[in-house]
Amino acid sequence: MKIELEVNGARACWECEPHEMLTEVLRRNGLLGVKRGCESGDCGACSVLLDGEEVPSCLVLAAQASGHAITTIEGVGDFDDPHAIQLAFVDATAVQCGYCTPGMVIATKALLEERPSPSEREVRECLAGHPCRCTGHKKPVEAVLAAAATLRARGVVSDSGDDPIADTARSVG
Amino acid sequence: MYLALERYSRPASVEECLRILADPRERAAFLSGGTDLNAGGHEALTHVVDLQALPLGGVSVAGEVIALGARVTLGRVRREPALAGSLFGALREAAAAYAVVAVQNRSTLGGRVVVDRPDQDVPPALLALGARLRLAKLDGGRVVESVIDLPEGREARAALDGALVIEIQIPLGEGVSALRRFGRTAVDVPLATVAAARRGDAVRVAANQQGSGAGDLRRLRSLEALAASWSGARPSSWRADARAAALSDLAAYEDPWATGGYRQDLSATLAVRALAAVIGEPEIV
Repeated sequence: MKIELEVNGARACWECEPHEMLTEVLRRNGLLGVKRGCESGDCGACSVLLDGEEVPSCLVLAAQASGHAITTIEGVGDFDDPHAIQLAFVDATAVQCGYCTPGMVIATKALLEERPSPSEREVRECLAGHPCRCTGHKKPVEAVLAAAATLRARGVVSDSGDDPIADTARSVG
Repeated sequence: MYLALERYSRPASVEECLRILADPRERAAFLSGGTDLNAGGHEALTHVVDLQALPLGGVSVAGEVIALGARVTLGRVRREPALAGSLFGALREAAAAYAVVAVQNRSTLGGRVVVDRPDQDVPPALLALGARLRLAKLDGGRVVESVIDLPEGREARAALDGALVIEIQIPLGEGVSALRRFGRTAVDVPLATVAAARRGDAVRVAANQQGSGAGDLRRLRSLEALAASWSGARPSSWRADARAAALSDLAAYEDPWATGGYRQDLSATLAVRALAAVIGEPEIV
């Protein structure tokens, strides 16, 4: 069957089978930053944004995504033009093997667009769907809070009234 | 997980959805969020009928009832301003307790009501809130709608056979609700979940004893009757009385994860705590 969707801002028209999950179809079309993991929605490695919401692409039939907008890690930033969230993960050394990182970055992007000044608790809840066996969550939490501060400073996201400095200090202190 | 799906369709009418489901040549099922499709038990399906083209994603208030479309996601339940009041605390807690944020963004209220799986925190919350379901069914080739109480117990689930859940209706009003569960993490299936809701002096309590098999969803009517008998003046023995009443309501649901007695005792403890939360008593003394 044929599906039409917007992927990372560009229109895509792809073939897929009715039983295929979005993960497989994205990867087959070169978007290898979408990782295969648990295939049950537990690990977050395959997370993408569907119409701006974080979803596990392993639980979405490719056919369900037809007519919708998908953002993968490739649409967030790349080596030449990394997103502030990606830079924050590097700066905080929040990456080791990196397998879970694309999902964490996607989750962070969704979080910060909804909550520009998240509390540490909200960040931890966001990352709870992205278990990391190498790094744990301490440094990724620091990275997310630092990215939030950077994006607010740049005016990319607007402040919702929380106290970002207090949150950040609590986390990294 | 192996899926043998041969067909995917996205009908734009309730009638067309129901006709596909009723077609004896199809091994079809409705697809709402799809979060349970990969969870096993769907290997024989050949056709999924995606409900996303139907107008089932709305939240509306009519009179003294709030209607939540069957495709309202758990993520939206957590963010929805119309559900921000204390009356809906149990529902928000149930939505937040289910899996992780990304899954909550896909999982729908209709799906959580219909899917017969053990990891269900949402049904006891809805049951405690007095939720009713608006259903559509084919009857003699015509689409017929009805409103039923949320099915309680396994036999009552037969009312959902061949039906499409259109919306979940919850009575509005001043009140408070709370949900208490026992599980290690968000992604664990808890051993038990209990929700309590109070409107005025009326209390409803619902439990879902969960585990490796299907859950045991039921109202704790003896406990509710006991709470009603207090009429504002609770005896000093109210906790012990409530615990005894809850135990009399609960079955000893045994599975490889816990003995029946342990789960029953745990559920009674959660019931007393949930009750305490909605009547303004300390949960732990």
